[in-house]
Amino acid sequence: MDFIIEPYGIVAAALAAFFFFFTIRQYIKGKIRIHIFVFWEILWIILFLTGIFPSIYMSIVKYLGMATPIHFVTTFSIIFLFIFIFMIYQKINELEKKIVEIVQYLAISESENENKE
Amino acid sequence: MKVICIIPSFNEEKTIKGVINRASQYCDSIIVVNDGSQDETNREAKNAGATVANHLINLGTGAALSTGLKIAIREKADIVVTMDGDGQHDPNDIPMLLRYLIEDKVDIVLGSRFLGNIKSMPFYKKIGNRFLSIITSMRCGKKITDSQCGFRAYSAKVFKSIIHDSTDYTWASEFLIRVISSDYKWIEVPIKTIYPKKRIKGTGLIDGIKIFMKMILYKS
Repeated sequence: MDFIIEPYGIVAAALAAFFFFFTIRQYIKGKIRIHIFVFWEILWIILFLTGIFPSIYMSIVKYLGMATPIHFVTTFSIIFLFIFIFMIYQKINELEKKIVEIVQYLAISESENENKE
Repeated sequence: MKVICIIPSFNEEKTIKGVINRASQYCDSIIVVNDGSQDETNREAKNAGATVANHLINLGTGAALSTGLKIAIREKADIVVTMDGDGQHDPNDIPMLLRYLIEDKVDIVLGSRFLGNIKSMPFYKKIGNRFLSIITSMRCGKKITDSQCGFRAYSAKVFKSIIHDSTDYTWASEFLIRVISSDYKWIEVPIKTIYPKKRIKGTGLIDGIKIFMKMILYKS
């Protein structure tokens, strides 16, 4: 296994380690749910390993015909971010609909109660 | 025949009382949907004798209208008139809308600013409204001169069967697509429009883009 770590690998590993513990703290405080916790922890572990052991993905980089490992990291990061933005957008849409329903329900109930009085 | 007027309002404390007083001459009751106003719209509307439904936060004109329509259904309205709370629409036009609805036996009467006098309408609004009306007409397959006008009268069968999903200004076009695709009878009539010099609200550029996108992507 290749242990030569490039500068961006150190940054990636350090950030991954920081967020690994940060996510654990958030979970202990009860701010995130178990499935979100597991999802992010797996992601931080993968990021940490690819930072420390770049050879893990070197073979994939070569297979995909990418010039350097950084191309692999940026390409897949952008794809991941697009997927993530889409999921967040969907969630916000759902929440907006629920907020509209709640606000309308409260407005209608309040006017109904005032009418009865 | 019970006629209910729905007025969606957002920060209209200066005009709402006058609009309610004039509209109540022609309608059995007035429902003001106070869409998260930060001013005294709620108090002014209540003092003027309207039924007020308060949105805790600002949701948009479309959401305010659908709240009003739900209350109108509960109140067993036979006809619903919708109009703006900023004084842009003249309540004295309500009898004309009702006459068309009853005598012409149509299901929905659409007020059209472009069939009336539009001298006071700002130039950019004329261009924007014309453009959106053309897009809506192409989408509906029928010529509509003013797709964005909120001054309308609906029969019970229309507002009971069609309630739009849009929460913002796109409601007006969405509602038209639904009405026309459902084969309801409709008519456009000229209305008077008053644009105050200082305070102009309504569809802006971002709303226009949203409506345009909705017209292209909307599935009826």
